[in-house]
Amino acid sequence: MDVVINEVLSILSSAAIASVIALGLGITFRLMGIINLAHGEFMMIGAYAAVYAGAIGLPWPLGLLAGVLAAAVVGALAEVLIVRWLYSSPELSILGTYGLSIVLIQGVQVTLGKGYLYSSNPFPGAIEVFGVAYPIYRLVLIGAAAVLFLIILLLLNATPLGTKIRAVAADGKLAETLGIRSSRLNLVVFTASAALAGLAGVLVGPLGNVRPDMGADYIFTAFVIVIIAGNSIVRLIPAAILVSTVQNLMTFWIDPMVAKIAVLVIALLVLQGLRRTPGEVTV
Amino acid sequence: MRRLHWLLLLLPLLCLFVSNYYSGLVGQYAILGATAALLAFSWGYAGVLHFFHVVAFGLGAYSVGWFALNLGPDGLWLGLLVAVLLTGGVAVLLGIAGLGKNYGFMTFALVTFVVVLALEQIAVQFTAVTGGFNGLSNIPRLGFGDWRLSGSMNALVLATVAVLLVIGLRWLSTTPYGVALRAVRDAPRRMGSFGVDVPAMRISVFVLTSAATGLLGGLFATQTQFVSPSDIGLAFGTSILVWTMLGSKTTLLGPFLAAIGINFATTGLSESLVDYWLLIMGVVFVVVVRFLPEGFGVWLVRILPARWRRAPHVEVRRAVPEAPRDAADGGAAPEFVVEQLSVAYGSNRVLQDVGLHVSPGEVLCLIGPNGAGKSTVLNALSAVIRVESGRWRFGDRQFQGRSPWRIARDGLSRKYQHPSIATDLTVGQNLALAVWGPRYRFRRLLWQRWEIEIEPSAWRILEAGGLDARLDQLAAELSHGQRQMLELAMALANPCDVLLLDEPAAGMTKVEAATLASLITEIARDARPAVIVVEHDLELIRTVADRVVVLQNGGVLAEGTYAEVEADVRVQEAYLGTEAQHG
Repeated sequence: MDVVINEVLSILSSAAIASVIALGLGITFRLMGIINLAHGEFMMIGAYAAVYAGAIGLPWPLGLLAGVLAAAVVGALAEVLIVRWLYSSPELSILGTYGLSIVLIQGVQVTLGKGYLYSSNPFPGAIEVFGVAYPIYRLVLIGAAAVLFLIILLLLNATPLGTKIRAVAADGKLAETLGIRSSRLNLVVFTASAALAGLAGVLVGPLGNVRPDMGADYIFTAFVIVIIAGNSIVRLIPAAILVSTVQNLMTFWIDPMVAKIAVLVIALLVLQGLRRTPGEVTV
Repeated sequence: MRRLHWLLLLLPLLCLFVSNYYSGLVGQYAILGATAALLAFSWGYAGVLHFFHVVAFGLGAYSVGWFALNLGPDGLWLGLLVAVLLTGGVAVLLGIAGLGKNYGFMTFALVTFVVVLALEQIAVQFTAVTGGFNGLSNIPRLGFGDWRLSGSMNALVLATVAVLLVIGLRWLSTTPYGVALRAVRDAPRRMGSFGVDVPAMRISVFVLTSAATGLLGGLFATQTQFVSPSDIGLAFGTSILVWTMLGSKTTLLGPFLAAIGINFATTGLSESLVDYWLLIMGVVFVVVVRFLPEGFGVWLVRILPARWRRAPHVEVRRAVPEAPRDAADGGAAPEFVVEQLSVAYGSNRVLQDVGLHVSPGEVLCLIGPNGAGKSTVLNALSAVIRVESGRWRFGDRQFQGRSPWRIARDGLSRKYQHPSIATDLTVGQNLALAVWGPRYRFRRLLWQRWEIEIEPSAWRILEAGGLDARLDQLAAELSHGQRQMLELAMALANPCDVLLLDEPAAGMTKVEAATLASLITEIARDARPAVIVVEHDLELIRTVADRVVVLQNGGVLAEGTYAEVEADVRVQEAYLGTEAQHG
């Protein structure tokens, strides 16, 4: 029984992390039609910023803020310098963000070094849940993910800003004729997505190590979740739970490599199973 | 020009005259060049962007390495076979999963990207087979038993294979198959309605180029005699993308020469700048994507003399008219029948239980105010959009639930509102693709000569539009009215039982519209398809309509002859009345 509770909590906390990363990816995809292959690198920027903030003695909340801000700034710069010129061609936007991810990884590697950094855990220790001692930090992650999803969904569906953003997503040109500045809203959405990535980067910091190519560890799962969820943001949550369940159980019982392949196969099967209208551009 | 590219065969000969070191590079770089050309064929010509190329290359290299090291040196031949079969097989599965249902190409790019991410890590972790980070070394060169080629002879063989592959790709791009790929890239929906199996075309090109890339990867391993995870990784994949983009993905020689040129120019740089190399690659890549997405190759093509890049002439003949099809038919003449057609976009119901019937030779006009669902009817009948319920058939041939290209193959032809012909093909080529679409699979397209027979009615449209004298002209050079005529001729190029026309007179002058009206009447009389026309031009409707159906709010409001419908009070309220006020 303890094993089951432990496993369920592990799956939920993995799903929490993966869904927050996928949320950032999902909003640029759903709202801008952009597949951002540099998302994992925005995470990495956030994680580095938090580690360096901790190193100069700032408390953890300020480190979190630093991570979010650093990723947001890099994301905003990327949007202004590169991404906004590529909206007309989804193909080029994929390639552009892909190039950006290489530049970010290598840039950090050259300036800050390849070495692993470690960020300290702000909530050390364990707490008893249904009779099982479980790390507090992982429980905090589950709560944080739920709150983030709630905020984003409310923001999109219940505020004037959200209405405008959805109008731009539906038809940017048309929205402009209504007096909405599409380009500025796109900048806002892309920056918000980068900030979410930065936040996710800070959050995963204490779970592993911080290094230039750390994004690759997480981004595979996040992309699979986005593929499964299609262009819906709410569906990211069940997709994250499904993928985390398969990945955790198979990694634990069989092999991490088999788990990767299994998750990939599931994504392909879901693509097959979903009846989507022919010609519709969805991911 | 056709013959000039044979000059490329001089490249392998270089291996006989330069030092061992440089001939080895010639062999390797020629292989990389051909890899870039294969990516260009899939991405630039067929519009299938993917990241699988590097996986295919790496799988090929690993299979040759593993078989040669585990089964003895001659195992490398088995390894080459496995390289082709394995990459081809994986490509078939991925292609069916990712390209099988007309997804946007972004899905496929992303799916293959995720595959690369997974395989790079697998190559590192699966040490029993891949040797992990250290890779597999001491892979033998090509040869049998103890007899092995020298380094430079091995390079000569590799460069020859690479050059022949590029020449083969060039040939492929000029066959009807290659031309059809370009049309599928530019107008996938349109080609589907012409009966082309769009997913099969895309999957075929993806599998073909992937299997060939696997072969190249395997050959590459016999030259470098070493495979490591970097041969399957994203960094290497980026390099291939950069060469392909810089050389112009819409050419084949461009990426080939760009890969060789850039590699020679930077030989040694990647070793001496090892820490900065990837950073430089990344910056170059971003700059290319941002400022030079077309690449340099297209500039070269533009300065070539026009006659060097002239498209092949298409021989277009007029088919001998058959006897009227239903004249001798004793039984009940088949009819085109639509029953209870319902369509909803989300919660918004657009069509509700619409029923229609049209006999062969009859022209039915669908009219109604904007938003009544006229175009939706045509989109539903040609399976461009999904229907909620409904059945439609011609005689006992059922159409519902089938893909657009199957419907087209079964004799339901359709013209879109906006002409969406492939503009970088000639008039003749467009017609040829329309004729072949429903009839030939891609194997047949490979060997098909540029000769077609079109139906007399299509020929009459070409004559009326003055297109019979412009068969070799690019479709991009036609006027809007001529494009409409060409698209109509394409819809009629094969015999069809049902013809759907979506605003055929849109954008035409009054004179052109009048010509079109008499053509529609003639076609219905002579070729006897069941015709449904959606149109706003009341003059045209009055001329061509045998019967008029008025749609309003997704349902049939009234039905009858033009005069009857015009006299109907409900119709006047809903449509003609408001029309008259505006007019």
